[in-house]
Amino acid sequence: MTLLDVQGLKVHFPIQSGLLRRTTGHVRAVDGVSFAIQPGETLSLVGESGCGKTTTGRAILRILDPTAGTITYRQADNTTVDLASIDRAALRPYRRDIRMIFQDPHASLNPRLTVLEIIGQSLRVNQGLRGTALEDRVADLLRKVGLRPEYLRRYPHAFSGGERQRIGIARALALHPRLVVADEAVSALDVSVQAQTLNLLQDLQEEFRLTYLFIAHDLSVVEHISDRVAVMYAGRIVELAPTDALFATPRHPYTEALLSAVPIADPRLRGSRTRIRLQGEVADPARLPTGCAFHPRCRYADALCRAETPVLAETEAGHIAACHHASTLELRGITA
Amino acid sequence: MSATIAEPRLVLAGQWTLFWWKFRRHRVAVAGLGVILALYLVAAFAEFLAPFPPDLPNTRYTYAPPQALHLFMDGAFAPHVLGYKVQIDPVAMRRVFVENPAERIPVRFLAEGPAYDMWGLFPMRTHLIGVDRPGQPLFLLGADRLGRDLLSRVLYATRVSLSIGLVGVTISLSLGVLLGGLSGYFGGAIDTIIQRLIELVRSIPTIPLWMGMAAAVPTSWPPLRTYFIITLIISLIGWTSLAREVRGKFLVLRHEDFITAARLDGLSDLAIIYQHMVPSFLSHIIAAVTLAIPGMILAETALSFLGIGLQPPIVSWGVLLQESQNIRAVASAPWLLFAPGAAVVTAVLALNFLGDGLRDAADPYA
Repeated sequence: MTLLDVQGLKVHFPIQSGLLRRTTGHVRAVDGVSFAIQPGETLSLVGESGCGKTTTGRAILRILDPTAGTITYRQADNTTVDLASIDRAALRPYRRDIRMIFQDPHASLNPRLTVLEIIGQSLRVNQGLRGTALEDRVADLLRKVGLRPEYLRRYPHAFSGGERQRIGIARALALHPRLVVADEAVSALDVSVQAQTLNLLQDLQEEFRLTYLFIAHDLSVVEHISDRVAVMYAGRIVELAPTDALFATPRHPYTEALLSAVPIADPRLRGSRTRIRLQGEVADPARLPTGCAFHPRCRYADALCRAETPVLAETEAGHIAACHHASTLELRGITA
Repeated sequence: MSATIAEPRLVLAGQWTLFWWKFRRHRVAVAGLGVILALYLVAAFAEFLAPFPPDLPNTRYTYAPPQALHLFMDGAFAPHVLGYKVQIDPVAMRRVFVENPAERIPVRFLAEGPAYDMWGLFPMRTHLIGVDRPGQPLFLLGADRLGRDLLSRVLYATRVSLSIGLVGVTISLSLGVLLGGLSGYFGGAIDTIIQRLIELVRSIPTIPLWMGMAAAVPTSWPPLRTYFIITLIISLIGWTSLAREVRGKFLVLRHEDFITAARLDGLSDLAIIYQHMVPSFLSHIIAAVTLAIPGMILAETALSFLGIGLQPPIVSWGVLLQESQNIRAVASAPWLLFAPGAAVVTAVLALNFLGDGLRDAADPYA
């Protein structure tokens, strides 16, 4: 019973130039992404800046309109709907079910509104709550995310970054969503606050039976929270596997490079591992390289990689990778 | 969880409270605010504050110099001015006024004087200061070529000049917010058309444009209609900068995360504009408007000084300056130049300081 099934999702942005704004090309921010999220699980999307992970999340919420593909969402009553093609005006009921936690806790809270107004906004608009009923609900939500209900009338400037992100989480939870898209929800926080926030997200997941699409660039954060991990590169998924399998036996050279960058907390083990330094920049999504988009930076690339684009293929059960040499390469992972 | 230990006053402070706290620290701006409030009070109560109507001539005292106000007489509080004695300057062969210590003219507070209609509505006779008998000279800032009291004229002119700033900015603001809002909200072709229009309007040199339009106003029109047409002409240029300000704010805000969050919360476009966008840039608009008013006042003054703006019998600072631009006034009655000039400089400086302070305070979160 898949909750959300994304098939062949593409988000292209036209590049316009000149006086007449002619379209001279496209930025392929997301170029054919497919994955499915099961109810109650946490799927993580990881990758470098500019790989299209945030755009994927935003397309699911229809903040951006997809260029192609389907986003099939299964409602509570088991009927399905394609979120990619329905009219913007008809999106409202689904935006109650699918909510978003933003990356920057400073930009995502209107500094001119109180906590009550920020968290209560969706309740006011969607459920018509007013006055003390609204205050009670918001106070309840604040308790749920570990903030004192007395903070109701404070403004965002009175809170620390971690506390603000909790306000953002409370806002996302206000309408009892089924799926939460957490877009780099802890990236802007200190490491100690990151851990607290991740624990909070896990507690809330149990309490409300939430499903998370967790977007991050930091694998150590992802390891802690996710059931499955999808690695994105240049607008495509290059590897998708259960968390343990991906960390232990990566099948794509890009995943190996990302894993080698995960810091080791134990100083005695420092130096026991060589870090893979990728050459060059992440591929320009407006001018993708031929063949495998990763080949200019890949240390295993050969003529086949330069000529042909690899497709996602299953290597083990539930473990897929888009690499011509997925079955032959011996790639190093992290053994916990 | 780190508890936020902060002053409760601060954590509960809303946008406008923070705005005021920040503004308050800008001393010069607070002084500017005081001066501006005082000037607008003068504008509102000009009839009462002025000892005479602006057009009351006194032919005995043409070009009479300013009198000194003496507060004490024989040790007791008794404000008075001294009368004039006419002497002939044998070198220049002209009449000059000198103080006549023998003639003491008492200055009364809340004195009955020439009748006027307060705000054109209530017939009154009481003035803040006045003299006992009509015809007695009381020229604290001197008199002009018809023996009219310059102080009274400057006070009445304050009303016209400052209100031109306000009315003009209101028209500019309506146009600017409407066109700038359309431009920033819809983007695309509408944005391009409006921005090119703004560039076109701004590329026309202002003085020749104003001159052309003002010259087209028939001289036979009643003064009030001329006043409104001149205001309109001045604000036809002023709206462009405000429109750009508003458009910029719209463009920036459209991509803010909290606007996206509001959209995901189910708010309609109109609700987002009114509940999130407008409050976010209102303080910036207030600052921009305050900085636009002095431009309006200077434009009116410049037009009137060139003789193509307001015309007598309307008195504005520009009209007063225009009347003083002759060799006689400059050589022997410099007060005719200084009094309205000082008024213009004071108002423009105060508004600029006030606008600076408002602009600094406009983003209390910066």
